[in-house]
Amino acid sequence: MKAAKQLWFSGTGNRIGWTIGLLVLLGACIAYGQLAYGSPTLSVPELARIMFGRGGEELQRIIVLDMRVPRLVLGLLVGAMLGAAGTIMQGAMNNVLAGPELLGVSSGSSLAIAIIAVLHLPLPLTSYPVFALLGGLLGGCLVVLAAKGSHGAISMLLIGLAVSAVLNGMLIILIALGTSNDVNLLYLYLLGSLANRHWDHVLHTIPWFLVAIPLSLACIRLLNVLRLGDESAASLGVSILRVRIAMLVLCTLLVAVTVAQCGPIGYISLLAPHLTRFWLGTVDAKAVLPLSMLVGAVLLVAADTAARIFLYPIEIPVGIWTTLLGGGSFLVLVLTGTRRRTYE
Amino acid sequence: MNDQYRHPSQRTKVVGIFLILLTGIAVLLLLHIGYGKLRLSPGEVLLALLNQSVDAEVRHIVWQLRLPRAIIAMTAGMMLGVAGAILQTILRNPLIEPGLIGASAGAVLLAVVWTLFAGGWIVSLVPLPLVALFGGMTAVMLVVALNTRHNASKARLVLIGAVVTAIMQSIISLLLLQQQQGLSSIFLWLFGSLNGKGWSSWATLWPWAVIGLLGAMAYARKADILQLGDLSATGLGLAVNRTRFVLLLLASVLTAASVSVVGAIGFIGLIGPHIAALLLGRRPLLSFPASGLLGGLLLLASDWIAQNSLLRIPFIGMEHYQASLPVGAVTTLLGAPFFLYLLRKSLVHKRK
Repeated sequence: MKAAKQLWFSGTGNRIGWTIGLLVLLGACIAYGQLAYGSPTLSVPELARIMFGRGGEELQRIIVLDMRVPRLVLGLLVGAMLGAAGTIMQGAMNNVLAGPELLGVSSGSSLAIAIIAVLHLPLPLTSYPVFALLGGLLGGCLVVLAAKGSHGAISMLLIGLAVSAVLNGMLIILIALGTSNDVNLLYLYLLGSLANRHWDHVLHTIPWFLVAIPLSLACIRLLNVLRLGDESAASLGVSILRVRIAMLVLCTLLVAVTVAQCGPIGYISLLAPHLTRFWLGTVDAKAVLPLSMLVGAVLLVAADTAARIFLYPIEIPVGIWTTLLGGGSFLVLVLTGTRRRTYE
Repeated sequence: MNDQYRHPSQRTKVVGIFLILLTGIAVLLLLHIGYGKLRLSPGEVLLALLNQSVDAEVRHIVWQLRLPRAIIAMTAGMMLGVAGAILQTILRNPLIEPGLIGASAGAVLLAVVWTLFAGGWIVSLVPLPLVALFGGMTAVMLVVALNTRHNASKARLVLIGAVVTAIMQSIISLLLLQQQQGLSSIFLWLFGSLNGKGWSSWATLWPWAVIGLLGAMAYARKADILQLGDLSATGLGLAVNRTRFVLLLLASVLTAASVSVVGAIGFIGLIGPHIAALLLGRRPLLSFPASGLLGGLLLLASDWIAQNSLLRIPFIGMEHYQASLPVGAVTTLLGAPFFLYLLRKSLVHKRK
C-alpha cells in the first residue's frame, strides 16, 4: 500500500495521471469517429440527439445504437482483455517478446472455433468461449511442452511458430472442407474482425470480462515478484511453477474469450504492454497492467475505426491492420532488443 | 573433388540412391495420373501417354488434365527443393527454406501488386516470374541485412524471416481483399494450390525451371568450395561474394517462378534438402540434384494426397461436396512437425 502511494505521488505517478487523461481524450476522439463516420456520416448535434435524446431518424438510430455502439463497446472490452493478456504473459514467461499469437494460443483457439463452424456442431453461442479456451490451452501446452529444455526468448518463439504452423495447416484443411458460404465467413473471421457485431456479442463477453479482469488485477503483486527473477521469487515464498501455470491459464482465458467473439486479432497484446512500458519508463506492474488495458482498448478501437473508414466502402478486417502495425513493431523489438540484450 | 565418392561402394550407393529416387518419381507420376475420380491402371496410363489408348475420353483426361498437373507438381517441387538447398548452403543455416525467409512471400507480394496495379501493355511485356523474382530477392536480402547488423544467430534469422513473411502476407491479404478477389485466389497465393493448372501454366514454368536448375548444377561446384569458408574459398581463387550473389539469384529465380505458377507452397524446400543431406551428405554437387528430386517426389506425393484424401471423408450433408485440398495444407502438415523437430535438434541440445 505504501509502495502504491509512493508511486502515485512520485514523478511517475503524475505521468500516469496525465497519461490516463490523454488516453481517455484520445479514446473519446476515436470513439466519436467510430460512431459518426461511415454511411451515413453524422454531425455532432445529430449524434448527440441520437445518443442522449430521442431524436434522429429511425434508420440513423438503428445504425448508431444497434451497430456502431456495440461495435465500439466490444472493441474496448476486447482491446482491454488483449492488453491484460499480453502484460501477464510477458511477465509470466519473463519474455518481452511473448504474445498469444506467437505461442500457439490464438491458433489453438481459432482452430477450436473453426471446427465448430465447419462441422456445424450444434452448440450454443455461449459455449464458444469454453471451447476456444480448450483449444487455446491445447495450443499453449503444445508449445510449452515442445519448447521444454530450450533456452532463450527466440527459441521459444520459433517453436511457437512451428506449432502454430501445424495448427494453421489443420485450419486450412478445415476451411477447404467447408461449404463455400461458410468458407468466406470463416476466412474473414480468422483474419480477426469486429465487423457485424451486435449487443449479443457484447453480452456474451461481459461476464467473462467481469471475471477475468479482476483476476488479472490480482496478479499485479505476483508479476512484480516474478520480475525479480526466479531465485528471489522462490525465496519470497512464491511457488513459481504454480504461479506461472495459473497466469498462463488466465492469459489463455482472456485470449480465448476474445477469439470466440472476434477471431484472432494479432499483436495488440504484444504491442500494448510495450507501448505502456516505453511511455511510462517503468516496469512496475501496478502501473503497467492497468494502463496496458487502456492502451489495448484505445489501440484496437483506433485500428477498427481505421479498418472501417480508411478504404471505405470496402472494409478490411482489423486483424490485418493490427498485424501490419504490430509485426513491424515486433521486428523493431527483435532488432533493438539484441543490441540492448534485454533477453536471450 | 570427388575423392570421397571414388570408392566403388560409395559410388554404387550414390547411383543406387539416385536410381531409387528416379524410380520413385516415375511410379508417383503414374499413380498421380491414374488415381482420381476416374481410376486408371498404370497400364492404361502408359497406353494413353503413348497415344495408343482407344478411348478418346481417357486420352483427353490424361493429356489435358492430369499430365500437366503432375509434371507441374514435379517441376515446382524440384525447383523448391533446389532453392532450399541453395539457400541453406549460402546462408549456412539448416533451418532456412524459401517460405521461411521471405522469398516466397516477397515473390507473391510483388506478383500480386503487379497483376492488380500494372495496367495495359506492360503486363504482357514483362513475364510474371521476372517480377516475382525481384520481390523474392529483395525480401531475402532485406531479411539477411536485418539480421547481419548485430550478432547474427541462426534462430534469429528464422524469426525475422517469419515476421517479415507474416507482414507481407498481411499486405497480400489486404490487397486481395481490397480488390474483392475471391477466396480461391487468396488461397492460391497464400498457401499454394495446383488446382486447375494446365499446359498454359507449364509454358510459364518450364523455361525458368530449365534456367534455374541448370544454373544451380553449373554452380554446384563453386557452392562446394564456398562451404569451406570464406577465407579458404578466397584462397582457392573463388570470387566469394559474386558466387554467393549468383547462387542467391538462382534460388530466387527458382522460387519466384514456381511461386508465380503454383503459389507459396511451404516446407518443400526444407524437407527435401534435409533428407538429401541424410542420404548423401551436404556436398552441393550431390545434394543439389538429390534435393531437387526429393522435392519433386514430395510435392507429387503431397498433391496426390491432397487430391484424393478428401474423397474419402464422410461428412453428413457433404458426401457430394467436391473440393480438393490446397496442396499447401498438406505440405504444411508434413513440413511443420519436421521443422519443429529440426528446431528442437538445433536449439535444445546445443547449450549456449
